[in-house]
Amino acid sequence: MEQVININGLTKDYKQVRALEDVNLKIPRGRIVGLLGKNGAGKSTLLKCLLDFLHYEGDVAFFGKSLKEWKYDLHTRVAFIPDVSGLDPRLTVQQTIDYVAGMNPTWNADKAERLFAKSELPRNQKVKTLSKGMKTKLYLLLTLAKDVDVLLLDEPTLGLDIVFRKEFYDLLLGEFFDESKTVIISTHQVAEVENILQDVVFIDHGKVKLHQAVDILKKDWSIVEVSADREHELMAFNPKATSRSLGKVRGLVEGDIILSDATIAVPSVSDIFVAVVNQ
Amino acid sequence: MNQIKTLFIAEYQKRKSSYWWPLWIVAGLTVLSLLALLVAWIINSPDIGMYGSDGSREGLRIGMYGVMFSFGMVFAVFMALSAQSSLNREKQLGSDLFFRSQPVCTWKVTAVKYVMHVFASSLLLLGFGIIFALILSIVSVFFAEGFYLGQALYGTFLGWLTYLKVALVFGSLSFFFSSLFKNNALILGMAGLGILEGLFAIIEVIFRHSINMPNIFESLVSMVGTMGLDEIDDINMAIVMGNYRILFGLLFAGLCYAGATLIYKYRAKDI
Repeated sequence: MEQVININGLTKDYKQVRALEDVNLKIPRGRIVGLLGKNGAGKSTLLKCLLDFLHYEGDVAFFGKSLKEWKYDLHTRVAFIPDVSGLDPRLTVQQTIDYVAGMNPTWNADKAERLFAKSELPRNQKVKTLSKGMKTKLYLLLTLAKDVDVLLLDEPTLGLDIVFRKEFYDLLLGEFFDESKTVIISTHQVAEVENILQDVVFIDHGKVKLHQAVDILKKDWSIVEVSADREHELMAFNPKATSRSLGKVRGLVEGDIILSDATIAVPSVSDIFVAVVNQ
Repeated sequence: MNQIKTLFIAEYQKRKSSYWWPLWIVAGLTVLSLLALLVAWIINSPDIGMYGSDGSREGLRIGMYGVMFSFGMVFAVFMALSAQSSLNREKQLGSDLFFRSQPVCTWKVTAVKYVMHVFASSLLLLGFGIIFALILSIVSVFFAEGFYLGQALYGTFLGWLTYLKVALVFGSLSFFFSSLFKNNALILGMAGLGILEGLFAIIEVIFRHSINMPNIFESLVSMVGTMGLDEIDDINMAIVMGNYRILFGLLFAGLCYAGATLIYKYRAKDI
């Protein structure tokens, strides 16, 4: 499988604080990757380093070419939506559309017209008057109309209500994603995105804790439930997390498990994420 | 070409008010002056008269030069005050990553910002000057007994050129300051130059004036060029353009732009 992004030994320091430490990742084409971590884990920093927005040590390559060779033309193939609605509040919606259209040789005018016609965004209104949801939607539509190969999303739906969040991911999957595209979604709201993710990268304290395909991950982990009096049997499998309720003990266990009369269920990505980052 | 055009349009849209504010101020002053003139004319004030209004065509040229020079000072002050916004505003508004995510060379972006910062208002000044010259020419039919639009426009143009020289040197300097300082760029930049000037003076004293340290502010002014008051009576292209020092001004402007871009490029990554 073709590697779209190749990260080798990426380290980033903010003065005395190490934000990223020796990050090594290979992201293949045609995947939706969740970059999952707690607040301050280093997710945003990693995405910003990928786009050369920050000084860093190590090497990042897109499509087999180092970031240093790409310069600004990388943005014809890679788009980024930051964690805050970072559009210019002084421009109107139409002025913002015209700006992005004028700057991007890959701008697809027909697609843009179709997307914006459906969106009902008020084109003559200044960006500063839009709600956060509308700003995020505008940002996404601008990005979708650019026809890029890779999309990096940094907490894109933070602070949005459930309607906007659903619309956002529907648009992303319906209008952007196919087997030739790659999406990296950074978020700490794991439950929100786990149904659309194909791969996950768990990041904690600037280090990659796990990089795995979701289907393999779910095969590798199990939630085992036994009655409270058999807790010692469960503990023998060294569960990464346990909880007790209604006379039962549940444990998240890695690897195959054979335990008679136990209930075994497939864990969610959120369960595994919590277990891994709390190890 | 499309990118350059888009950058110019967007830069204008983003900072529209800062370009127009000085124009509204000088327009207000002009309206007040014309009203005063009208009142004086109605009441037949004996003091009413124009400089060089002894029926000569030069009066309008000199008058318009003075008007443009005065208006230019208002524009120059606004240009200096808006220095902070040139390279910092996007970051302050949190939209810098949006602009940096576009496939465009930073040198192109800063070139457009530089041109707009230094010269955008000058077009408004010229436009206003032409309208003012026309009004003054019409007024001069009554007060100077002649319609000397050509001379008025010539004076406008000379005044505008003088403003351009000021804008070139001090606009470029303020643009450079905006790359150095994220906040209070003009104040910090001028304070920095003042401290440097003071250090030079101290060094001269220490060495008992045996070495000549450069005088920064004097050097800046000399690039713009100076003229004596007596020269205003014969104001013409040669006087306005001055001597070869304007070439140093052009070089200085180029250095300010290049330096600002390099600093901006480096500092942009320093989030």
